[in-house]
Amino acid sequence: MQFKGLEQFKSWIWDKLKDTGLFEHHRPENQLDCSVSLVTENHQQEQNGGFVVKIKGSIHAPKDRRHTVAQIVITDVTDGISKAKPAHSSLERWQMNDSSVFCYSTELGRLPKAVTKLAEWITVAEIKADWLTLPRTGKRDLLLVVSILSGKSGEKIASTYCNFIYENSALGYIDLQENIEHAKILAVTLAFAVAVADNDVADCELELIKSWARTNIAAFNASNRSKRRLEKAINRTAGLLNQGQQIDISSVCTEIVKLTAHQQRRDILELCMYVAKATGTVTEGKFNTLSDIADSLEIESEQFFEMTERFLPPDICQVKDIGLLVGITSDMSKDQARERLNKQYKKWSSRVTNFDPEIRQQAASMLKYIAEARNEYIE
Amino acid sequence: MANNESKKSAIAGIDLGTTFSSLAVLNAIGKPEIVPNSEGERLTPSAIFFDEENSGVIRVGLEAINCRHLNPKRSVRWVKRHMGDDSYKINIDGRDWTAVELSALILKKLKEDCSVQNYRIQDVVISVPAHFDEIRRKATMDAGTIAGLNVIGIVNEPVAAALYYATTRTVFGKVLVYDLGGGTFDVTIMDMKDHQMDIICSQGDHELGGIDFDKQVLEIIEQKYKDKFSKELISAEEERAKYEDEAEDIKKTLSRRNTSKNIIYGQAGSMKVEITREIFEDAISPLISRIGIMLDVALEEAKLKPSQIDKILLVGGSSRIPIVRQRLEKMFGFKPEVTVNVDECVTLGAAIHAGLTIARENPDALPAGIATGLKHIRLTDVCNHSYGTICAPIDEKTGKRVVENRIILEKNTPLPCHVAKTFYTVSEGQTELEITITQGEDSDVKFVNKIATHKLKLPPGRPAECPIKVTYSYDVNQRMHCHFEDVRSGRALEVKFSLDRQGDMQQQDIKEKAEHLSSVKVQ
Repeated sequence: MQFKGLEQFKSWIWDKLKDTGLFEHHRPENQLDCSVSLVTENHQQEQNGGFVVKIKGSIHAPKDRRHTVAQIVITDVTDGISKAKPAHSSLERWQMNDSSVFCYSTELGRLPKAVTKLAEWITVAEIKADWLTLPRTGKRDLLLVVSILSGKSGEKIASTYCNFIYENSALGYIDLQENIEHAKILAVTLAFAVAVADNDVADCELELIKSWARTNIAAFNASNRSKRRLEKAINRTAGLLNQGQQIDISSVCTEIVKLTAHQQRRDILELCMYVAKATGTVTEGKFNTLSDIADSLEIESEQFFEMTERFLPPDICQVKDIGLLVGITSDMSKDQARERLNKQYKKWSSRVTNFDPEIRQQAASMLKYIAEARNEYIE
Repeated sequence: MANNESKKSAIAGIDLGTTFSSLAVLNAIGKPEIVPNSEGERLTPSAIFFDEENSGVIRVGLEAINCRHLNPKRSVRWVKRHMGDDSYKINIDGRDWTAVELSALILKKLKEDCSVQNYRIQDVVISVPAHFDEIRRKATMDAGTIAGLNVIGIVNEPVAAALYYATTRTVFGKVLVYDLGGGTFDVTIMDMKDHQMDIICSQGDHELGGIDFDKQVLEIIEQKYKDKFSKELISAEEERAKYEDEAEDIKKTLSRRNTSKNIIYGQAGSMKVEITREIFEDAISPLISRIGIMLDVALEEAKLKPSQIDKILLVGGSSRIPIVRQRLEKMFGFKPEVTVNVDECVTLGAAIHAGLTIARENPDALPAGIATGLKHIRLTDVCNHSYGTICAPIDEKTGKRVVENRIILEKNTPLPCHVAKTFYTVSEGQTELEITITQGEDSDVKFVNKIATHKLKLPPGRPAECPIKVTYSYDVNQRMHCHFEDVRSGRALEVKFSLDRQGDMQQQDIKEKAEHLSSVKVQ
């Protein structure tokens, strides 16, 4: 099952809930029940918190459908059932087909009779909290639906539901999405910081930033009005910067660090690198700004260096300090610098015979810089 | 001149160098001997000149060097640097000459000069820099075939030099072969126990050699000239050849003396140019640093410290530069070996390698005297590059599939070698597997060379994650074999290692070019 949007999920979960009798005035006798008990986190035993799901009651299963499977879906109904949102799973194993919706399933084995009565609560699943990603952080009202399916045909045999309250300490996927969107706005600010590192924002830089924003910022595509507002804001920012307005890179980066994971920060730095080389040359000012941004975004110097290698061909970098180009930092000892240069040499000397002339050229330049750096720092 | 039947059938080795080439044959007792060219010289300049006044003749060697000032556009040098490069073509009278064809002309000259000396070349091994990749190795072999030679193998230049060295004296311990030639630089570290040679590792730089030192000298001359006359010394590329020769002479002089004094004749006037060894050494210091890094890297790969190296064997004409020897002495604490001829030892070793190849593959064809002469020599070479395949594993951090190069056969693995790894199909119902054989050290596919691509059909209706066993092997003849097997169905693909890039020559092309070249007169 692949959900193309929230509405499609709602329709699907609605059908599931109807099956459980949620909307019936009277629940049928001998019906199947379920319960959820919370297991709290135990740091000493390195156990993550989670939920123990139990069932009790009757299961009616025809002779040919007694081999059964239990399927569990969790829905966030904090804002009411009409605004239900699915729990997602970070593990591919517990994702529903091609979507990230959480769907746990486990073998129940062969039921002994046509009507199997479970007089005691039976544990059917222990779901770890870190398998789930809920929509939002904080106190959540969750609806858990257990479906008993034929193991052979997948046909539903019985189902039940229960509600429970869960205090979610992690960020929800909607929170994350909002953070990501906010971080993207901040990324545009950083991109401008690179563009004005040594002069005005060039037209090609402005165009690149706009193009990135159009592709990556969801609000850009929400409506024509929001698109116009964002375009205007970007143009205004460019204007202000050209008049000498300053960007506090450090505080922008601090906010981004709070909002995003490491990978997204790398993506933001990548955007900045594209802006840095938009005019065809990367000046020392721009290169230093990129270095400051990487530092403030808590991207390790090794990773920053790998990215410069990848996105900024040495031929376009007007950097006097060769150490910057080959990844030698001021805190390195002579031995560390030697180690770094040897490592770089190994890497680039194997690329110097690449079929792609651009890579060959880049490799030849890098080997030249590596040798110059050795001359300067080691010998 | 003797007719073909009366000529002595010979097993030969050729050093196809960037600046000079030479040929050696094995004598009756398996000792290699240089065969002088038709001018009586032991080394033939790797230079070609297309004579416009006599289009039926292509001049190769000293004649080409002497003529090249007449018309530099019809002159070719340093073709080895372009070996395997599709885009390199020299157009002469409307015909494009590739690096392979130009190299074939040099080889043809060596072969024909050998014939003058009453030899008929039977089988030949050509030496290549250790760092040459598959493309360049194959291109070198193709050049030999086009020249009408039966190329039975390729040998790494430092290995050839060490082979010869080992036959001239008893050597025990770790030997570093330092091969600084006209256009390339190789460092090879090996373990020698008399006639048993085990290569540990090789490192190479294909853009570091004598011609790069010459360029630095030429830059000094140009600057001095500009300082005096405020005009460029070389105003047209046609004039460059003349000054390149001057620069080479100055470099050679500075290997013997502390100062070189020359008169430079330019269009704006002539001037005396004095270059000291100190100025020269300062100008080439980045190149010397590059050599230093390669030494470090080679020692790192061999897991050795400089103090664990017992001998250094110098190879290649550029190893005569004093600062090169001084640096080595400083780094290792002893003087390098200079007992073998640095210009000839590769050629002589290549001839020995040819004898060893025949002894291994067709022992009955090897004359008894040669077989006896070579019987104690044992050589274990290594794989000079890393070979891998492109796969799409799931990234542990992001949980997403990433396309990456996975190395199967690592560089410096002793030959023969055989490595198998298991990969898994990506999707349910996958009916085809795209197979790519790569050469390179990177995991990023952008930086590796795809040297072959094939497709393996898979049975339909299967789940994802079906195992595929990939086996790479590399034999002592430096030939690679790749085997891909779908474990469940047993379907397999044996990859015949052919280079699938545009520009690689197929057998038919080679045959046609060989036919064409046989009618070309080389002098």
